[in-house]
Amino acid sequence: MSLGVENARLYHKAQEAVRARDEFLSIASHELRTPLTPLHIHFQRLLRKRTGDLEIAPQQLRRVLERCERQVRRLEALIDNLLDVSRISSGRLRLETDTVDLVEVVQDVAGRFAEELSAAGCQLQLQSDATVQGEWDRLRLEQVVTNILGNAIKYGSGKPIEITVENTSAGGRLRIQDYGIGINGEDLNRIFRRFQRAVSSRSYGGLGLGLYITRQIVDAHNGTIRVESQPGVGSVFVVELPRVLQNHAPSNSESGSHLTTVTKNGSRPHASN
Amino acid sequence: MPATEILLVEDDRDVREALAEVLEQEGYLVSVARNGRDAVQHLKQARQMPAAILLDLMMPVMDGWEFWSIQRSTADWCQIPVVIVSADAEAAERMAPHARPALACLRKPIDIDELLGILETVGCGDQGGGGGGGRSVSPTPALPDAK
Repeated sequence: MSLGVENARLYHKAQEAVRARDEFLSIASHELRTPLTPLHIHFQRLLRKRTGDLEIAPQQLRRVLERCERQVRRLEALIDNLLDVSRISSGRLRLETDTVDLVEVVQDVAGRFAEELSAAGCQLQLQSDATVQGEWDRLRLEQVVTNILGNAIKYGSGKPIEITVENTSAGGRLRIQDYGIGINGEDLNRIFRRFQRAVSSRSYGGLGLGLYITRQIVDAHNGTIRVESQPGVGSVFVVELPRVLQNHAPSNSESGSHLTTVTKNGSRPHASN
Repeated sequence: MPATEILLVEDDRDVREALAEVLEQEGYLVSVARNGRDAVQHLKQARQMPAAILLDLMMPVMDGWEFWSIQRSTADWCQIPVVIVSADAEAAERMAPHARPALACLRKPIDIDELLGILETVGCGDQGGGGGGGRSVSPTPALPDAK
């Protein structure tokens, strides 16, 4: 009897996993096709040989190529995310720590989002201490800021976004507040898991991996990430990072963290899991 | 003769820009909407109906499915031919049997010549004669392979 119940539970779990995987593959295919579309259109335009339209002014050519490059970068970012998930689950994602100023990281990432912010009608306010330094992995922190800020723009278009970066007694704190669609209470626990999104994939694009990867990176830094949100009011994500990476505590995330940390000189202070 | 108007409903800015440029280069007048709600708004305010609508499906605020159902059930709009342009092949396939008055379901990334060819069959192409809500559309729309 109990074996039967257990089998049914396992069967249900396996079915659920297959369903999540299939849904993910369908979303991933959609996401990869979206930047391919303008890329394809631009190339077709360049290749089209229509009478009287053979010459392309160098300036126009440059503009088209820049747009193509932008799509290539979008594809690259998507593929990086997919690879990160694969790296995290196979334990091949490493942190390369160095002295990093979180304020600088946030300013850099915000600068890269300038165009998107203005297209979305979001005004960005950044409040920060002069510097917030720690022994962190700069590129991974850029990813953290990119993922959270990207979501804030995506789900909070037309509304302001506030970022605070400050020193704490233990290290640094990053706070990103949006006034967008917000997240339901029951979805709050789900959003840091793999392939999970609080919104319908019909409405919003995205792989459903950003916050999962973000959580894994923050965990690897021995930090914490939390979210407070109210539907229709907005969300605030708070990341706290200890100044120095010490022994990595076991992660409490769904699959456990499988990250390895490497200092700049190549030694490995710690390998988890 | 005034340029034939196409309403392009697409949330991705890069896709929107690329499609709009191609269509404008072909002599169309392109109006853009970032989601279904914008498109409804556009149609409500339009003095003349577009000759065709290019419709993405997965969009925030109001997705393409919802827009399409509103459009089909609104007397002044239901005759406007719709070309679905989606990266979701399954959705495009699922829609094909119910596609009337949708003209075609194209999967992203799309082929420009195919799109332009389809627009010409609705009479929005070089032959002219489009506009007026696309009422000259053939009642048996061509449904190219959705794959």
